[in-house]
Amino acid sequence: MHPDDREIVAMVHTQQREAAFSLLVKKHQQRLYWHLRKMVIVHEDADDLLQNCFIKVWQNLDKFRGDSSLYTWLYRIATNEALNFLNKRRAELLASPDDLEIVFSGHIDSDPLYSGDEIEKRLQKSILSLPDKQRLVFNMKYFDNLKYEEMAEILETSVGALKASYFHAVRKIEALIKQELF
Amino acid sequence: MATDKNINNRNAFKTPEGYFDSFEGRLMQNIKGSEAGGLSRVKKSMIVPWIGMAAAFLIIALVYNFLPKQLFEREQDSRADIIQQIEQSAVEWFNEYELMEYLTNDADADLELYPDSLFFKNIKEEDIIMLTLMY
Repeated sequence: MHPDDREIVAMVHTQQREAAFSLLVKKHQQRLYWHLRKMVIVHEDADDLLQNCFIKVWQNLDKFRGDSSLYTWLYRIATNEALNFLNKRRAELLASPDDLEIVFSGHIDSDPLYSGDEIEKRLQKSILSLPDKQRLVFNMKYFDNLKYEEMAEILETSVGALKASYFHAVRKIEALIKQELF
Repeated sequence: MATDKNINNRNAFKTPEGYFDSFEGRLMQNIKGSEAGGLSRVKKSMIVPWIGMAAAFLIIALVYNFLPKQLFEREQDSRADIIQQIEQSAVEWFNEYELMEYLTNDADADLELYPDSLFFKNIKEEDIIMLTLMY
């Protein structure tokens, strides 16, 4: 059983920094990893980003005053890491005939660490056709089951904008899957 | 998703065996390594632009100080070389005999030789005598 985030933050401020950090990693590593993995698709990249994310947390843990929840803060750091990574990868691929969507689709087909059947692969590839931020919203809602209020806090946007974004994402994915099925 | 009943929100991605068990150990090793290695990545990223700017200013200062001096010296050197070359060349290129030969053979088409009287027409005979006496 993991301790409450507030207890972890309290430990940081009572000279138990390393122990608090260890608890924080144990508690949040899996959710953050899956959040990153769904955005960057490749396990090795998700692993690198998760490490970077926790290194940033380690460096700034003392400055965290608890204005937002620890969980929201971590999610925000991970989201920024993922978006920056995707921008960098796109810049690297500028000279290549393939775009990032094609590279990721190819990886889903050949990745031994992806166990999805044909329909799941089709869904993943349809999600890849969305713009990064819409993909982010879709993943957080559809796979992570986050509430719009939580998402709004993490992504620093309004609930209305998120609902609209998710609605458009779902419609686009439905259209793409229908197009392939029939 | 209502499109297909077979589609669910199961996570089909997998991790290597024992990935999450070993993650914290690798992370702490990474953190300790970066701390022992000196400046953290964040501090380095803050310092690197300043070092770059300082280096740029130093290069500009060096260029401003030394390049004009070097160019000027080089220009002076080259001017002196040219003058020396011209002086030498007048002596080296032609000796008296060659000059005479040129004047008599090669340049005869264009060269007009006038009689002495033409040069001395404004000089009186007495002046000539005086000049020959003095030298």
